[in-house]
Amino acid sequence: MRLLHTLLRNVASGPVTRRYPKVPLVPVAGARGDLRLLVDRCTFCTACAVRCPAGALEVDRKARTWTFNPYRCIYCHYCVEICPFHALEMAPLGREPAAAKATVTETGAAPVPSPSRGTGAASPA
Amino acid sequence: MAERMVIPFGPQHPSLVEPIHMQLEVEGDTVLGVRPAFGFVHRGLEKLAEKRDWRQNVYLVERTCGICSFIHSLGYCLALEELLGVEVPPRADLLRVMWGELHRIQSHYLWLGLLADAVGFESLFMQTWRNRERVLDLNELTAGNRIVVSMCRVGGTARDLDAEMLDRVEATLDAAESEFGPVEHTFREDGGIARRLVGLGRITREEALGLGAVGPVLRATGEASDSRLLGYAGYGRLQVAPVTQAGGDAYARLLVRLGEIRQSMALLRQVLPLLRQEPGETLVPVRKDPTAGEALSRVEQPRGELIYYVRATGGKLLDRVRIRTPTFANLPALVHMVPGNEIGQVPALVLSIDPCVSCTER
Repeated sequence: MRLLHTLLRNVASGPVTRRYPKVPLVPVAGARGDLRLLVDRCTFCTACAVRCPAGALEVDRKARTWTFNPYRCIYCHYCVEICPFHALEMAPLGREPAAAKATVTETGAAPVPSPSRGTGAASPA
Repeated sequence: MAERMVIPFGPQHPSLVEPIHMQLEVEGDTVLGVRPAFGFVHRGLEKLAEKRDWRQNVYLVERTCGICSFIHSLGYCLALEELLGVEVPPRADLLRVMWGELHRIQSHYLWLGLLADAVGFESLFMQTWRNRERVLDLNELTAGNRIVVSMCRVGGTARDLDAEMLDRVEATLDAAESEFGPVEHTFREDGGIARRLVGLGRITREEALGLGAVGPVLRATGEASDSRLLGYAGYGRLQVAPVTQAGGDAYARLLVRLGEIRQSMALLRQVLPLLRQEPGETLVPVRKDPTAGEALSRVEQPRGELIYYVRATGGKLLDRVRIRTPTFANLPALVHMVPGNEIGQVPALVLSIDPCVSCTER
């Protein structure tokens, strides 16, 4: 009978589920969703691509491109934690449903030659 | 005299929750013998663990099981920490207990819901899973993900919880405890559930020990065996008393799991004040790779004792990772229980050991 009280209260209080898609999901702060690159901070050092357990990231140092395959991402947050330049972040909401699989590519601006290294000259050891 | 025949049962069967396969030798409606077969959801996970470096493996082994994922990563991290000689900060140990117990609660809720569904009690099934949502929301709030929380790291935990978050955990725990009351009462008092389960798949304590059963299957026979008594992570600082029952049947297993939800909530009540009182680090950086050696860890999963064996030969890659899951240990007990029962009781019997075939086949 105790469950009956709970069930009657459930009937009176309406559905506990959200009325999708009319009512949008309010993201929880700190939830792990879509991975984003803050391309201005990225040095294309490949640290994230080397460590990603699912192989969802590819970084081309020379072409300065960062390619993310969201369909391989396991939302483990490892890349965000290890990025030495804090160039990665996870939005609290997941990616929108899509009709076709696609990757995300970010391209960095051409590197500014640093005075200590110069261009083409041997760098001091 | 009915003819003896063999009926294939599973891996796809409307009444089965897991892709387990058994060849049932039956005469009429009575099962005389069982031959289990495995491999339908084998993923080669242990082999893959030899191809990924030891840090990436934390995320890999966590995906061994979709229900008690955190405890898998905890078992692996404990073994690695032993191999590396890493001392985990006390606060990280307490956080590990917290997420471990949250996983135990939601895993037992999941099982209770499946049981209610199996005995045809749909409203109880719905209510149980509704209660489970609250625990999953708490996982999302504290860790960012609902099931596979990816919070364990070799050397500690990935996140810390501040005082405000601990207040919210406590408030959710209050609500979860009061919500559990009517559900627990119904499972304990409902005549239909008792009629289906009392006497079903009864094994004695000696049989369970002889067959190597673990977890609630063993504790339901009166044996107070619980890996948490080993004191791994923060359990050494907490009062852990194994929940036992003497019946040895499916009903006793139900009572053990009901008791363990209460026990997990009580453990969370012990952990939260300690987390408030003791601020500190939650992660020590580990920069070296393990040297040659081997390590073993034993942790208590919702289904029983989980063993991780790790062997390293030096370098980033591990030589061997072996996972002994509790369902694997409980299968001989299941094979022992099934003969003599009617074929219609087999799904409830399989359910009573809370099988996780994906874990077992890895």
